[in-house]
Amino acid sequence: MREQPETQRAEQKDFSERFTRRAFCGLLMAGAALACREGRAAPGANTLAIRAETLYPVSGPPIHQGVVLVREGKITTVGANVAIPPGARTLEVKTALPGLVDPHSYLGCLYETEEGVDAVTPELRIRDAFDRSDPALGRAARAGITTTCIMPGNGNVLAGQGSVFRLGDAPQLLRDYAAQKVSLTAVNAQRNPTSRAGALALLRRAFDSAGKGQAVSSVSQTNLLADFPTSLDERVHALLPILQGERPVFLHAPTADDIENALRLCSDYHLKGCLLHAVEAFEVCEEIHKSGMPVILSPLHYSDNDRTLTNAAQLAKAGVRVAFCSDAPLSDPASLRLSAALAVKFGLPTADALRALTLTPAEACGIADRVGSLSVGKDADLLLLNGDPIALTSRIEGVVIGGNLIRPGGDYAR
Amino acid sequence: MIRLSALLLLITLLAGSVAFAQTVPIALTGARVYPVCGPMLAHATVLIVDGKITAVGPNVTIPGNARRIDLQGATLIPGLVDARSSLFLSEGDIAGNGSPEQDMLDAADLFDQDAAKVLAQGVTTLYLAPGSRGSVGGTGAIVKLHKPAEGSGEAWAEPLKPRAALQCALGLSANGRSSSLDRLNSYEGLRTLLRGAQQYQKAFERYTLDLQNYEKQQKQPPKPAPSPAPPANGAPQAPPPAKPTRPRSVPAQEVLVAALKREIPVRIEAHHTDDILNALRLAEEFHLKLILEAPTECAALAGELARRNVSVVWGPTLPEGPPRLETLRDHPETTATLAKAGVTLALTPNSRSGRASRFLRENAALAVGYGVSPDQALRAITLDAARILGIADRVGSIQIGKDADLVVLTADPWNPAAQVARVFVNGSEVYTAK
Repeated sequence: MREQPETQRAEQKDFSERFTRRAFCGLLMAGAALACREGRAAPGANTLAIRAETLYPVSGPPIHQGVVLVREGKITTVGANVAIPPGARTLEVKTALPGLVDPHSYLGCLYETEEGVDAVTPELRIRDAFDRSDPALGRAARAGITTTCIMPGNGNVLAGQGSVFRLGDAPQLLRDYAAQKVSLTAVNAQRNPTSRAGALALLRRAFDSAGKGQAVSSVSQTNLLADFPTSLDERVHALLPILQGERPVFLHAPTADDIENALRLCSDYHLKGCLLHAVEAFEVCEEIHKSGMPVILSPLHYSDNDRTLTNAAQLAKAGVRVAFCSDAPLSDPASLRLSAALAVKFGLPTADALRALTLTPAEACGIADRVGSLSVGKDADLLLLNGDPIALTSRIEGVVIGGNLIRPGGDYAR
Repeated sequence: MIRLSALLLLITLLAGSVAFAQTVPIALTGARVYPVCGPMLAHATVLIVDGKITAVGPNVTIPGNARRIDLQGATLIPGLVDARSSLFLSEGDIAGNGSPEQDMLDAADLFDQDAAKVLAQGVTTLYLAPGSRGSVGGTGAIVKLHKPAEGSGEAWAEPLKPRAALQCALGLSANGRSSSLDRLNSYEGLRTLLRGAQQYQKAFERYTLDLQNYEKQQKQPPKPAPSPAPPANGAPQAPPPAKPTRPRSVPAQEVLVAALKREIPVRIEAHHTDDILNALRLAEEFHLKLILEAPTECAALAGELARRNVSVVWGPTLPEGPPRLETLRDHPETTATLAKAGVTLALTPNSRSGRASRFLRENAALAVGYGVSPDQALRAITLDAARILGIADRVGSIQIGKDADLVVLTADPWNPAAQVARVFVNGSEVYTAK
């Protein structure tokens, strides 16, 4: 990656990146103020320009010699024949694509992902367990993930509310109640439900009660915990947005029969959302296609069998939108790109693979107006590579989050 | 165990006789050849006679009776070598806590169909690794894959080198917990084992010496009759020397002694800096041929490893599964640091699942993304892996005299579009893409 300084600022290489950036911003502001007063503002001041040999906007076809202009953290221009305003800070790279959007992770909250005493906890907000000092967050950002949706675990039938965070030096909440986690496999020998049929019955009862505005009773509580104080109203408030279609459900449904149950549940209660960790989705891709639901797949690993490795390709062929999630830190955040590469090796078209890391997960999390593609008005989140976006040999040259450049390497663990 | 080994040997001999029975030479022409031992040859021919490579280059004289295969500009690389695989092994075989004499060849189910998937990705030679949870996991074995004749019921592999290395581990956490006391235990445990083996070795050396002396004495002609007058004091005569007793031979000790004699390398998995330093101390104390496995925190020691000629088997490039104490401070860039420092490096998917070996090339490609040069990455899955395994005289490069294990790719090795088109083992075509 080549960087061209825009002004004649004396850049000392041994300054820390942060110091240089701050000093430079100060200089720019001072310069801009001065220029304004004198009535000749440098047009490119406060502008970041990224010129890529190949630019992948994802919302449209790849652009040869594409340019993205960024002002105040937002994308202002995307195109092929864009003049870079004089004075803009310019990054020249081989490949630029949207920052990766991770629709399901436990970043900053692993080990605190569920409240096991009760199977119905839709009021639980996982962001209350979010630890912004978790070193895994820095590792995720350096792996190209710019946005992640942190979610409760799969141990409760209604496990709670996930939130979308933007990564970077200071993680920022993008969407508070992004999705409700519904787990069709939250079976537990110690408390109800003890079977998958029981899980479905419990879900229906919860939706029925909340739909009528009645308190959602805690049928799963053991006698020991009968006096456990729960704010039943909070449950109704947590469930109404999904019953009214304002918030999506992420349905953890690994096997084909779990998926069929999930589809039936969604159709009965008019729920919107997507299927999560749907390992056997390929077996029911026609039904999934009819439902219009996207599928979020677990990251792929070397040890996976052919059924898992070809799942994405078969779904895409059936017209189902596919996204990959990192499940980080349960998997390395870099397995997002590895997953795309392995899926392509097993038949997924490259364009679908790129969409699976960016726009499709952004849509699933309800944040496609902010991130997921390189379009005017969206947040300036970009992944800069030195080669083909799917090739594993491509190295991350930089990650831009909200217009700020993070370089890879350095202290990897943050 | 012995019977199984004998059976395998028989199978090997049979398979070998089939493989080498070919008399028609094969000429692979028009290939972009990556010999790995030298620079790429843009338009070259590789000649195969009786399963061995007999000529490589742009101007090879092709015998009149040779079967010509025009590769039409496709890429030719050596058969890939996985320096740490679980192919043919079950979960129980690699649980760790083994004993030195447990050879993975005796545990391997060489009839496992996963081998077909691995072979189809161009992987032809594998080191079957015991688990490394306890201090000692057992001994690893090296096998070469081949294709059983249709309906023959033959195995998918033949042994290339049984008892290829002693597998050990230092400081691996149990259940995600670890303490300095555990560390000290595993280090002291391994050290005690090796010291015991030293005693064992000495006992045998003493026995050999005593036996030689005894035999020398026995051969000496009987001395002339003793002096007619016995000693006046009537002291009893010294009894005739007894034949020395042979110490009991212990299979586990035999393997450890082979390691002490540097006949086989000792592979130690060690992640933390202190565990790596302990491994280096053991190697120095016992003069071991050391191979480090997955030395997560070795970046600062890269120069030292190169100086001491310690090679490294690294994998997977990205840690798999939930965070473990061992890999919390993992930097995938360390592979590049090692390669640049001149450490002999092998890259492997290193999974507990055997079929994972098919992603040998993908795993090395990831390392390229973290700074290993494309040439070094190719060496790390061919020649350097073979060197670490001690079989570079047979496989790992396209060189005269080596086994004709070759992979035809549709594009350059690191091009993501490159597919395996054909695979040859000992000159026989064992895989052809549909």
